[in-house]
Amino acid sequence: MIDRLRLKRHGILLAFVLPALLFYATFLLAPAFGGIWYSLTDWNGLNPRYAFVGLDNYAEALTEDPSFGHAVFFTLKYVLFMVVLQNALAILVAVLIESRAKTKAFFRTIFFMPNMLSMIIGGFMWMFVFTRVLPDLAVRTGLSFLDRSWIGDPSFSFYAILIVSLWGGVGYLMVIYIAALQGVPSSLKEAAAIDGAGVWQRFRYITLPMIYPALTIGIFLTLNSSFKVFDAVFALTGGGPGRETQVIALNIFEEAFGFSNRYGYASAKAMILFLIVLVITIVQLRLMKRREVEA
Amino acid sequence: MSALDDVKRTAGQAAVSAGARAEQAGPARGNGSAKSARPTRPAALVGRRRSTPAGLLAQLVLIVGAAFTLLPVYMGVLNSVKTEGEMLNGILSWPRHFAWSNYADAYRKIDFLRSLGNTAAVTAVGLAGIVLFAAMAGYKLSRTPGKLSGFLFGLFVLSMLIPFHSIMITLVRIAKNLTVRARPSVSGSSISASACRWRSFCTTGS
Repeated sequence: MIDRLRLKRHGILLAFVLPALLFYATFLLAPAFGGIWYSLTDWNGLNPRYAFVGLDNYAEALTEDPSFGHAVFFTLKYVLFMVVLQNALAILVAVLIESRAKTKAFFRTIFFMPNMLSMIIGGFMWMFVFTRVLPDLAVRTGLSFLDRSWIGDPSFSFYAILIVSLWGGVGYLMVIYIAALQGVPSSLKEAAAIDGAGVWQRFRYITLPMIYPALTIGIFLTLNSSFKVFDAVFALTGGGPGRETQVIALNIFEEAFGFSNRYGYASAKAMILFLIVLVITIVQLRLMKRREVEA
Repeated sequence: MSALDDVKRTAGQAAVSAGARAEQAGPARGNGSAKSARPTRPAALVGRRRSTPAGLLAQLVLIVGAAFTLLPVYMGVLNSVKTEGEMLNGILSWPRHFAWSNYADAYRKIDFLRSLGNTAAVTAVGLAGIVLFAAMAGYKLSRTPGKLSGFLFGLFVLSMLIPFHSIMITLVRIAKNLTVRARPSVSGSSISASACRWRSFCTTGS
């Protein structure tokens, strides 16, 4: 009897979930498992015959491929800057916007706007700004520090990539933080103000702990998207000069569709990327969930 | 709770700064202490926000940020109505005459109507699928406790972590077998991601 009830409940659950699950399985799970299989082969994408090579691809990526190692380090550096800067700027913008009641809607719209453009388009627009507008601006205003080879010099193109990514990413997190800020009861802040807490103290000891769950989400999203960054780098530098600014995703792309066409090897690199993202986000969530406080 | 202790500790140490940002007023919810303290409320709290220097600084930062955000868009629009020659003369300058023909050229070159139609079709199909299937899955997942439900939810969450690059190669093959382009992948991954959002939406909503 109980089993029949449970069966029925499972049946109803599956009936609701199955359509979504079907799409998910076809276009995500199946390719993901396919990717695991191909990562163990030397498939070149065209030849119907390929050999099973075990973990050779993984060993090669981790030990014998300096370009992949460089891409991993460059991506880690990028992720570090992005996690800190993107969340700090998004919180700053959210707090400032929330503090100005009259212009709230206006600024919120403007800061969110880059999300309505695709990152590829944004990247090309910034490319134009870096290569044409800034040198022109430097000549007109005499601010010579603007006239750099933002794209050609790897030490500057790193910052160019950061600027474009922040431009595209801060708005989305800002919305999350604004929602969190609106959930902070004003009675707490008022009480602290009466007790003599200044602006910074109220932010540090009341607002920040109260929006900590949003911070968990914000850092999770930034970690997740920064490790997988592709379009901003692709549009701006294409990984160049040489492979100086190549991120992991671009390295995989080049391996698969570039000169060498090593699909199997590229799949192995993609699996390594997936594992990196998985482990780091799980650790981050575990660590941060523990520190969340109740209101 | 430790945060509140910290607040208590800092209380009385610092004087209320003149630049204290006025909070959005309104009766405190479920807490009478703020109300009863109203007569002794510091002037900075009830003062008009416009006059404070900190408020002006906030406004200034926002304006600079907004200008930065709009810069590439402005540059794109401004130079889209210049001829090539005029662009070489000055990137920043206002166009002397508006070369609207650029738009006509671009419209013809990319076969705009056709690509707009394609984009609209992809969006419509994807949106319909997401709204219907993700809402169904999210609703039922939020209403059903148990291991199976939790497992399915975890499966959907996992989709957010899979890099596109680990599926793209096989995806191309699957798409070829289904004789469609790689586009449905977008719907596939968004449906699973949306299912997660719907679930949390339903959970918090009820």
